[in-house]
Amino acid sequence: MGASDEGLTELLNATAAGDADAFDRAFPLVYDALRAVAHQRLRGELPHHTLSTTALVHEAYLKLVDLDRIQYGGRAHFFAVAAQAMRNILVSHARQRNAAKRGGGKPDLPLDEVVVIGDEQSDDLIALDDALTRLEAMDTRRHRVVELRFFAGMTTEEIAEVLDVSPATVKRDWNFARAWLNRELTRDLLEE
Amino acid sequence: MLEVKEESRIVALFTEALEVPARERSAWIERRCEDDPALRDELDSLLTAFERPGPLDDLERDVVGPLHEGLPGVPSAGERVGPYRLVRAVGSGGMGTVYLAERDEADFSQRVALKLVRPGPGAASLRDRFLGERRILATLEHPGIARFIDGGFTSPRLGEPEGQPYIVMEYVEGEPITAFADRRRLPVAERLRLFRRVCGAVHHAHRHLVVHRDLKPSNILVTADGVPKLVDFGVAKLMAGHADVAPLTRTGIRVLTPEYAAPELVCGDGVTTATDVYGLGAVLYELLSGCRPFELAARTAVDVERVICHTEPRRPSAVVLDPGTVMRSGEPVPRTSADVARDRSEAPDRLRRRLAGDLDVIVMRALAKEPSRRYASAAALSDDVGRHLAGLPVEARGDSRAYRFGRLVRRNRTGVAAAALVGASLVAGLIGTASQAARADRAAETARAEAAKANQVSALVVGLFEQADPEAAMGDTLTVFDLLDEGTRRVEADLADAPEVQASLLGVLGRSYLSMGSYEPARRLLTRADELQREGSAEDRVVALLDLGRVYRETSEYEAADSALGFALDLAERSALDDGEVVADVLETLAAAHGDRGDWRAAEGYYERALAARLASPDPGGAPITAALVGLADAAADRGDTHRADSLYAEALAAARSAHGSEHPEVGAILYHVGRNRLRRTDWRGAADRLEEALAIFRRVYGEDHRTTANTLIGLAVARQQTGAPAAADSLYDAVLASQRRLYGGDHVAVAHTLHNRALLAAELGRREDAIAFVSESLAMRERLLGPDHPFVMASHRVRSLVVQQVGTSGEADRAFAIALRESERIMGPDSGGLGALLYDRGRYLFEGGRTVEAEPVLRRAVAHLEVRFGAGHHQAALAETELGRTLVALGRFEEAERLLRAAHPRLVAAFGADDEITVRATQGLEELYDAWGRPAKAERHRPPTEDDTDR
Repeated sequence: MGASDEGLTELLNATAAGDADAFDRAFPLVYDALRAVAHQRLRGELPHHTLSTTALVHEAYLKLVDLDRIQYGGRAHFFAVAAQAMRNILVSHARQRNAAKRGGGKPDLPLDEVVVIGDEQSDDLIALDDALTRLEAMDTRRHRVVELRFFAGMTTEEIAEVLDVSPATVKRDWNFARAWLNRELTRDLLEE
Repeated sequence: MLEVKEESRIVALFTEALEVPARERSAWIERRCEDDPALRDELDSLLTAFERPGPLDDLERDVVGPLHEGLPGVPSAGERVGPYRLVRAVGSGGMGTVYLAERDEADFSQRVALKLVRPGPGAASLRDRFLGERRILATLEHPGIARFIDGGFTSPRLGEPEGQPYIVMEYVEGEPITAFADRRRLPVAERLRLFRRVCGAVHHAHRHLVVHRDLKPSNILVTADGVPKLVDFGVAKLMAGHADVAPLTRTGIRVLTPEYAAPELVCGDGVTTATDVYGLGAVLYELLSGCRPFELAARTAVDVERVICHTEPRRPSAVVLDPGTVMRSGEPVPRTSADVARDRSEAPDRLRRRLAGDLDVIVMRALAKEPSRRYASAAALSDDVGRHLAGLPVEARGDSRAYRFGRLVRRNRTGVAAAALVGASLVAGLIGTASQAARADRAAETARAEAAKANQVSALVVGLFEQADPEAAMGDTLTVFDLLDEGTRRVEADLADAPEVQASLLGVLGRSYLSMGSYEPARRLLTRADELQREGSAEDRVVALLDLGRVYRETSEYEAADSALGFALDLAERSALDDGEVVADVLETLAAAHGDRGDWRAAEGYYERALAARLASPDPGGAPITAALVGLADAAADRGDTHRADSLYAEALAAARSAHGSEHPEVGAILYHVGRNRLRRTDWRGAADRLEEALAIFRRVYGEDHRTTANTLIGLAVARQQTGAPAAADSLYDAVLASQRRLYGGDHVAVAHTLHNRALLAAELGRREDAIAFVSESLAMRERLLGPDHPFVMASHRVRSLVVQQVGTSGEADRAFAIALRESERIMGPDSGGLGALLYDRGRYLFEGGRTVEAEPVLRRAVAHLEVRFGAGHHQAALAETELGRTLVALGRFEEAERLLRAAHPRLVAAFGADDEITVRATQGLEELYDAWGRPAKAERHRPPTEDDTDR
């Protein structure tokens, strides 16, 4: 694993303190960690309960972050970073999967066993990624709300904290973004 | 893409619109966007998208959501939880994260599974129950259950002031039961034996009052040496206070593993051991078929609820031939029947046959939607699997028919009346009549009862048919009467607090009794239904009164019938009931009741009104109108207006022919009816012609072996018998009986009716042995099928007596009459009007035999009975008065004889015409009277042919 625990913890603390650069530097660490967990899953045994769901983000968090030293809010910022990482991982997985399908071969991807995505879901994810890009062009904050809530599973309060806005604003942003994305995705999928 | 300015306006409008109540929203949008249709469309489409789950929500649920499980407050590896040291996280489920943990003792370290519960809003209230439940869990000691070791709360920390609850269990190294069985390619029998061990463990827990609630293959791990172990026992219950377990929320469903969740979990009903029986059924389903009962990936919460609570899974034997794409770990995996069969060391078709029958039924019973329909316990399920393995009959078979019926009812959740409709037509099907179908259809249309009522009804009807299943009844064949009696008992006992449902079911049951000729219970139930409906809507009350009127009509209580039906009519008019069909039903019943009493003019009037009501209904046409026309024609014919009758019949025929063409069965039905009416008018040749015409249609449409074809043949046989072709009639009966026996088997009410008729023909032909044999067989069959108290049984006794009188010795005739009288008195009561015909036949027989002294009291009684039944002065009573008069002439009591004969004669002329055989008997009686009395002048007036008959 490329990053030291201390490194990420500090980056996250810096992010919480408003250091925009820190976010960019934390991203590859989180991304790698998530990928690493995926590889490990593929190789390793799952001796006890079979996992019906996979706490990828959370496991990366466990591995990367020193809980005792992380500042208040640091956890939320971790997930903010993780959200982008997740989006990236999921969407590239979906694209590769579709490419492999078109090529007739079976995708040999580390995430295959972990993040389980069907064909239809692959298409949806790719469409979502495109729609999110369009949404970002319209309104950056709304786009961030979606990323945080959707890819990192953050609550309204956590998102409000990360974005430094009121929870009511987050809620309004989400309501509109969700309706807009659902409509766009439905249209995109119908056009196919 | 919209302009930025435009876009922010839409966001503002959208946000504002969400504050507007949904009802007023479209008006609000119209107001705000009236000059900008593009804006309105945009807003509309966004609000629509907001209201419904869409692709984004599906992705969140299926892909992203699971990644977020167990996010907050997660301790890291190496951290201590109580006395345990977390080694690594090994899994995460709906309720939290599972760790492999170790407890270091002096000389060894114990490996355990530690489940750390995700904190949520319900966490505080969780504490007390958690502590109580863990004591119970600690008592579970079974080799098939992963031992509960410990449970507690983590130390308070940031964001977790109460600490987090955790559970420590035996660490099981194994794989899910389905994976284990597939990897080893266990054949079906091996799988069943493995499954029974699981049932044993579950049953053990149930005896200790612990319910698993979340049985699924991943909670049933099989160790390398083949021992199945249940993990997470009782965990779901411990977590029940957790906010996320709230049913019907997305998270709730995810927590509950929807593919294996029992309906009561999803719908929020009570959880019992039956919940685990369902879970076991789902596991068995997958073990046998390789598929889950339902594949619920990519479904919305509402869909999931609908599927789990209302959709019947395919039978495992059907699934193995067409497994399709199965979801495994969220991944669609295409599978063939060969894959599934290979994992079970079988060929696909052999596997299908292996599962079809017992195993299908066992699985489906365990997966019953209603908990009470499942096996009573895990042990009972295991026992049935054991019986199957031993080649013994399985218990579940007894339930399956009732169960399927129950599902049918459930699927038609349009309300109580719809459910009642199914019950009614099934009952009707059992007894071979569908006369209630039109009524029940209408009831279904008007039903607004909610699903809860339908459930009560379906539970009841299902229970009934469970009773009716011969296997469930331990080999006793329950009759329809037993079924109805049991239904009545249940309706009266179980539905006392749901009067609307009760009333409507009492109506169904009452009508069924009525169609079975069981008047006493019919009257009781329909009276009760009517009482209950006094609180109900006018329409329901009218229907109840109509039913009651029908009972009274059938029991010849015409005054009561008039009053019930008249009140129904008033009520319908007063409340401006817009259901013309119901009103027409009431009018037609009134018409029939008047027709029975020979008040044909009134009958005709009511039929006319009924016809008008049917024609005025919003969707006129078809069979009811034809039926009303035909009823009206019958009444006109009975009144003697044959001209009008024939033109009405012609109208009905023309309508049916133009609607359906002349080959249509409805045309045949009208012709049949015309023929029957000709029979009543003793126009035998006219009857034969019409019936031949009808028969040709029915033979083409229905073929020889059909109820309607057979009935037409019977009518034709009667006509041939009367047109001096008794031999032709006899061979027609032969054909009818042969076809009815093919249709119904040996024993059937219709066969009994035919035998009944045939006995009369054989008696007329003087074939004594045949006649007695036919009537006795008919009687025995009716007693067997209808019970000894049925009016048809009484009619059989009467005809037996009549036949024996014609062909037997006087000793035989006397005995036959004595039996018939005794049975009729028993069935109808000694004072009932129903004995009139029997007594009339007997009196006439005695009179013809010269036994006038014996005849007199019998005929007096006949007159009294007929007057009770039809009213004083009725022409039916005039028949017996004529015979009594002639008897009195023979006895020399001329004054009374004269009074009787002169009173009877004009009534007979009016009813039957002057030339009818019956009228002629009365005329002869008067002639004999005046001859015997020594008044030849008067006698002369009655001697035909006469020109100046003042008595006429």
